[in-house]
Amino acid sequence: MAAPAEQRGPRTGPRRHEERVAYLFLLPALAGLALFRVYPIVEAIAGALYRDVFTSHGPRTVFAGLANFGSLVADPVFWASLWVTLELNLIINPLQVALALGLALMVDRAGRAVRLYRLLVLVPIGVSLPVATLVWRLMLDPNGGFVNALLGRLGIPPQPFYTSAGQALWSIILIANWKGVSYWMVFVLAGLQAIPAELKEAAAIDGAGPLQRFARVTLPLLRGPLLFVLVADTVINFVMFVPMYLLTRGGPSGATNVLMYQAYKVGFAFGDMGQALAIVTVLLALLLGVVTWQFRLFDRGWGRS
Amino acid sequence: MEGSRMTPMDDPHPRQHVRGRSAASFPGTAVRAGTTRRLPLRFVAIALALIGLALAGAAAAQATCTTTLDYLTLSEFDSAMQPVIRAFEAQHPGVCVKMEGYSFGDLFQTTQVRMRARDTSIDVLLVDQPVVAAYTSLGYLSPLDGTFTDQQVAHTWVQPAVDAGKVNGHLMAAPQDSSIQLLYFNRKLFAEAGVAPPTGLVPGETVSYTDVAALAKQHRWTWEQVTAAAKRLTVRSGGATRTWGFTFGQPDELYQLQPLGLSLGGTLLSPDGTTVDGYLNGPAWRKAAVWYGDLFNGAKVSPKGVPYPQTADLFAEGKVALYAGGAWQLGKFKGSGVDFGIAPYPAFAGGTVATPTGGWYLGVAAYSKHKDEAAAFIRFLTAEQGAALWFASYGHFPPQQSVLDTIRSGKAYTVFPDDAYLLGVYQSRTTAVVRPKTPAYLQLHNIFDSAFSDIRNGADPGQALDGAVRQIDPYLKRFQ
Repeated sequence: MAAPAEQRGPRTGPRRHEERVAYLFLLPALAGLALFRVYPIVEAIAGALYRDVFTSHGPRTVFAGLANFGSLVADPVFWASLWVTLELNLIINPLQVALALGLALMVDRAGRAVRLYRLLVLVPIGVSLPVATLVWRLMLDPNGGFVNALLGRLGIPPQPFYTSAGQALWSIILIANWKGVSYWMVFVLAGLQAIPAELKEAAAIDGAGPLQRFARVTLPLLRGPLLFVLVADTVINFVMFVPMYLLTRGGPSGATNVLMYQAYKVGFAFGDMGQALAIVTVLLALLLGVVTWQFRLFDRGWGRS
Repeated sequence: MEGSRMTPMDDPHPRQHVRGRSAASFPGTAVRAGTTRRLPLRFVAIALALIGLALAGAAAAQATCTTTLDYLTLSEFDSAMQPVIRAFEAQHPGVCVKMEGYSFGDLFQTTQVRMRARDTSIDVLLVDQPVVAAYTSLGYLSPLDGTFTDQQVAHTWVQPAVDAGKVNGHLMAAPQDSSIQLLYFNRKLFAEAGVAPPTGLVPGETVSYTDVAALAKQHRWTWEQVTAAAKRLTVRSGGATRTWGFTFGQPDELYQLQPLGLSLGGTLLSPDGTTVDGYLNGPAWRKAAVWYGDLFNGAKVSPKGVPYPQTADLFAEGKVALYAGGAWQLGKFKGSGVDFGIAPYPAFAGGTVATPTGGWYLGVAAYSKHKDEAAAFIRFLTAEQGAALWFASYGHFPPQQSVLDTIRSGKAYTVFPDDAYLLGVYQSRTTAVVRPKTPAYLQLHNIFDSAFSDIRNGADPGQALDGAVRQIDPYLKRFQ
């Protein structure tokens, strides 16, 4: 350790002392990371290797190796749940990023009407997801909810929404978008407003039309905020739980049974914690893979300058 | 206090400081000290006295509760349980009971989450009858050996209730309630639709046990009759349903739906309890599931998205004509102003008569620090004075011999609507069927309910049952 440091030269004497002080200052944050991030992950992965054996006198926890993962592979409900998780995320993440970008472009203008519009767009941020879910549950109620009444006025027959296997996932996507898009918009908007106006002006003088200015100037300069929004949004949506818990209980027919809800059900309704932790471990690995891929995509696709 | 060492000359902004501090601390303001000094002192004295009183009050409150029992229970029991708790606390000075109530759906999961975490703050657990075995194997319950004498165990409750609380010969939980299910009908809605209502118990008539038994034997409606009547009773206008024909009190619940399959000659589990394949997805349950799905998707006589306990509100508001539900809703319906009658729980035409039963048990939480006091509360509520108080207050059908005797001999139970309990006595003697006693009940229950919820939402009944079987069987095998 010491040799390469000395080769570089400056890491001696006062410099090294400074480094130590820096680490000392970082210590609380690092300890927090270890305690609240690393420890639960290690605990989850380790717990997935154990299994409760139920006897008439109480449970015994025994080491099971990869048995929990083995029974996952053999479980059709797990595979269906994995597919629902991927399906949801393949739809919702690009959709939310696109909508957030669209909203930000609309909001990024001056004027009095825009101010009111901005306020309306930001309202859902102040509503928690459980409250949003309960409000939408009433609005989407298939027996005489507000939305069906509205559709009735337009001559459209009443829809089953979250009570049908075909529409349940879309109902959840609708609720999550209503709640989430304006939040993500704020980050994109901050990125938009950080783009110097001279750049767009210069492009305009060079003869670039609005579309070209957007594609060649705005979008590349938004890469940072968009990457952040995509990654953070993906992480949140992969572990989305509240609407499934409050609205559909994973149903109908497993249509909204994402891995997070399946893990909850197996762990807390069935009392099978080892199996639940195995599901969580799979979810974690999946998420890690997807986020890594997203980072690479942005690096390659748009190349860092 | 540093201000007291200052003179006004030292202090660049004397007035500003005076505003924030007691005038007495500034020597420069001593001219008025004669009056100003006394006032704060008086305030201090009063404040001290108040603090003293508050401390004494807190100490007194603590003295009345040397032990506080945490009773994890249903939120719907909250107010009805108060008379029982007050009587118990009067009899056991120093012991207080705190109820922690959850909805039916959340109670099981809260129990799981907290008992898995070895929560020592829970003392008394409310346990659904078929879960006694599962909670025992999960290690959540502390045996009640020694809480009751052998004599008490033998004579306090009806035998099936005692058996259901025992695991490997140990009483793990004591019966607080039993339950019975009835078919309530709205007489006004039947009259308006011109449909003949079921023969049943109605206001203004006095009945004996023999009358009730005859009613149950000869005039029990079939589920086919329920559907036929419900179709005529359902009123729709402009795409919305104004009145529903029929609803189950607890849609999708195994407790309430088990009699459907049994009535058609099926069972949930194989006799040795090792599989549901060929049973839950056998011909009887398939037929029952098709009938159930049709209520919501074909005949459309039942509301799709109204869960327990809001279904009872629908009946109380006169928005549903037939309601199959527990006797514990009697109190609500009595007070609602609905003109209703009570008929025996239906069965399929030509099939076996089976009616739901089961009930709530009380157990000492395994990690409790007050096991003796918890056991005393359980004894009081299930076997001593608490049992009668609880029945009077909430009206759950009782498992206690003494309370059942009161129903059989009491005059009050020959007139409407409390004669429903007399019908309950008949049912519990002849037609009541408990849920299967398997350590995998938690899984069975959960997966069964999801399957029927899917069927309610329009899933193919056969596929839903096959799917449920594929999920339940691995658990049954693990518990061997």
